[in-house]
Amino acid sequence: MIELRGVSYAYKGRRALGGVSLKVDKGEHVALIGPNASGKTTLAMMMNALLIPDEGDCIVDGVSTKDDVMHARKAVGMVFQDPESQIVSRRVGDDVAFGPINIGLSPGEIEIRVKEALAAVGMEGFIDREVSGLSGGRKQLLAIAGALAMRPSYVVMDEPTSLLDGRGREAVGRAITNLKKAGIGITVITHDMAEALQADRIVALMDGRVVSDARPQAFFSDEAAMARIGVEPPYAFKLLQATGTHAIVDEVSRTCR
Amino acid sequence: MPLTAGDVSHVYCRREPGEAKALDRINVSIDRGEFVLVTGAAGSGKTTLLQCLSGLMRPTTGRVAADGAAATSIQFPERALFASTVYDDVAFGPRNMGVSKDETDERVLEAVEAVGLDKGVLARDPRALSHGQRRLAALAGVIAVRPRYLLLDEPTAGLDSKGRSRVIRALMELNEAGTAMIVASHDLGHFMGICGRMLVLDRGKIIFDGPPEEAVSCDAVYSAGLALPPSMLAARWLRLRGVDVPWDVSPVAVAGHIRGQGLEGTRMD
Amino acid sequence: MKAPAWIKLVALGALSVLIMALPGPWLLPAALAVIAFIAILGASPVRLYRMLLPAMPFIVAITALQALLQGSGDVIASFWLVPITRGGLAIAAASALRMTLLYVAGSAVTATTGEAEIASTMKRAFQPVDRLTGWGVGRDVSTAMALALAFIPMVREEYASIKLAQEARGVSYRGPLNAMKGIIAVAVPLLHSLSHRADDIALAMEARCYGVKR
Repeated sequence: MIELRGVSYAYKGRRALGGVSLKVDKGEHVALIGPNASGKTTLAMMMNALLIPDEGDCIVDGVSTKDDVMHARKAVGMVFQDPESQIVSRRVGDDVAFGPINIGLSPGEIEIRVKEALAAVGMEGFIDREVSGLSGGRKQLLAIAGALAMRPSYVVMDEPTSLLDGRGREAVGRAITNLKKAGIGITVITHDMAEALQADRIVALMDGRVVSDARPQAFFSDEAAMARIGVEPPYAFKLLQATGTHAIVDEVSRTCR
Repeated sequence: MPLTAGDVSHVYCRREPGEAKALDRINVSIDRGEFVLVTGAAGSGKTTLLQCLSGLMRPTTGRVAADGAAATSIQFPERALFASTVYDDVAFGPRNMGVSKDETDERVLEAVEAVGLDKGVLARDPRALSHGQRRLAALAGVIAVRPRYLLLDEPTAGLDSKGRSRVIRALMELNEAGTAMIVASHDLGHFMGICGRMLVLDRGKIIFDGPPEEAVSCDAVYSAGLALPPSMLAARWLRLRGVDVPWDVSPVAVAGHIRGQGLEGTRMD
Repeated sequence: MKAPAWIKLVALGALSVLIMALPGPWLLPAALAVIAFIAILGASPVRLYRMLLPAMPFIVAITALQALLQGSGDVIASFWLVPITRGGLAIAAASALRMTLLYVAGSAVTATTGEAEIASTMKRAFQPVDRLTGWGVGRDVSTAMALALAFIPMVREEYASIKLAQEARGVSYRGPLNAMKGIIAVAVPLLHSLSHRADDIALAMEARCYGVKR
């Protein structure tokens, strides 16, 4: 479990997070929402120890990030918004191998992990391909594979689909579902309420504080909370409420054919 | 004669063999004052089409002609902000065009107001502004050119809902004042509601050209890799069961139709 | 000539040392050596010329500064209050020739060698250093090279986009003043954007445990 206890953080005198507490379990899918500058990205970066809290603690599987940064970095993988800014190599296989090389695994073990990670995102045949020839969606899947090569127990994603087209979004959505099935705890920052609807829980941040932490059904029924953050329930949810049947809702929940 | 593209094709020089055409025999004509949404999956040719239409890029074959100035905004235009003040950046266009100092001043103020930015930002360093403000400042820079045709590549990408609505409002107002808008965007939910015409590209070809209302009944649109608005998918679901509704059908209306037609309990295959 | 990358790189290294270390009068034979080098590699002179063009403003600028700030001997002319001496001119001329030769020789290698080949050669070259010293310098160097190579297409795209954006607003390069404004309008935002990308990529690398002390 990733546990944030009373976490606070300030950037150059400006308070980004104030007393935030949050838990993410293995196998859980949490959607983190909120207006820009509400502290979502700061919170995400605490989970894999890219940032250390000023006050409070971030504890990953019992180990605080203040005590051991590498433990969190290995246990929590991170995927960022821009597929272009996560590439470290020209060849797909080399890019995925970056993390395993950094932690000093043997070449044999690295090869196993690269193949495993690419298979997990459905890109087994891509190992020798050039990264520059990939579509945005595939580049993002590559970033996910790069994180998976560390065999993390959790993955945090910062708006992974906001720069992608319909096909890319669908591909990343499928990858997220597969990660869930594999028992990985997922935290996704998103502005897309339809994506948030897929989560087990929605955590809403505003001005550096948690204003809501509830299941999607409960959150999207809470008009006051939604108004505070400035979001509307996704179409699929309204449809579910209006029709009461899942048939058409399933159809509408897909992003494209 | 409006902005027309005649038999335009474009191929990018690539070392890979069998490279597909970015644009494949495009024929399109856009009138003054139209608001056209150009959409398609990544790689469908949206950006290439915009660049050819604006005259920034000459297509490999075919001709583009326009009866007035066309100006383009690239994706994430705030990347190109370079001057030390917002004023100087917005004034860049008019100054390059040799416009008088007074008129430049007028255009800058007009453009900044058109995008809804406060005059106070004019003296500030563009890099000190928030992301949404930088996007608006970059758009003002293109608007100050006073083109007859304004082409925008993903003007709302990466913005939060507040930023998005500011940009959309600015575009609508400009369109009402007479500037033709050609917007390439994935954000169908917002743009389908305000455009008068939609062009859907798939692998370099136009597979749909018409008012958004008609897109619901065009099968090709559903396999073009688009992130279609959920209401449109619901509309299609109903349509396949014999109920015709508009692409922006409300959930309540959908429910009504399901009950009314006794479609309850039917499962989607 | 199809030679393995390491031979070309070693030859380039030797040539570079000669170009930089030999005193003035030896530059002429050095220039001939570089021309021979280019011919052996089979690099196209036209292509090399085109590769040299973007570097010219920098070489000219550096040379001009050297002419103004260095040297001794008879004063030939005055640029405002700064004297240009015969000695200064000689140093500047030699410097310009060295930079040009170095640049052209390097370009000849990159023009005739696959980038991946260069990167893997450098990686292999540094492995013994790492094993002996445990410094990790080799890892850093090869990572930096791999990153640079991975970023070439991205930088090209970014440059093209920004150039297009400024062209859309009527930038013209006619006349020295306009050309300078035009270059600033592209170079400044490009560098900003690249430095942002560098920050982002550094973060992504850290997230994947780069920089672990083993």
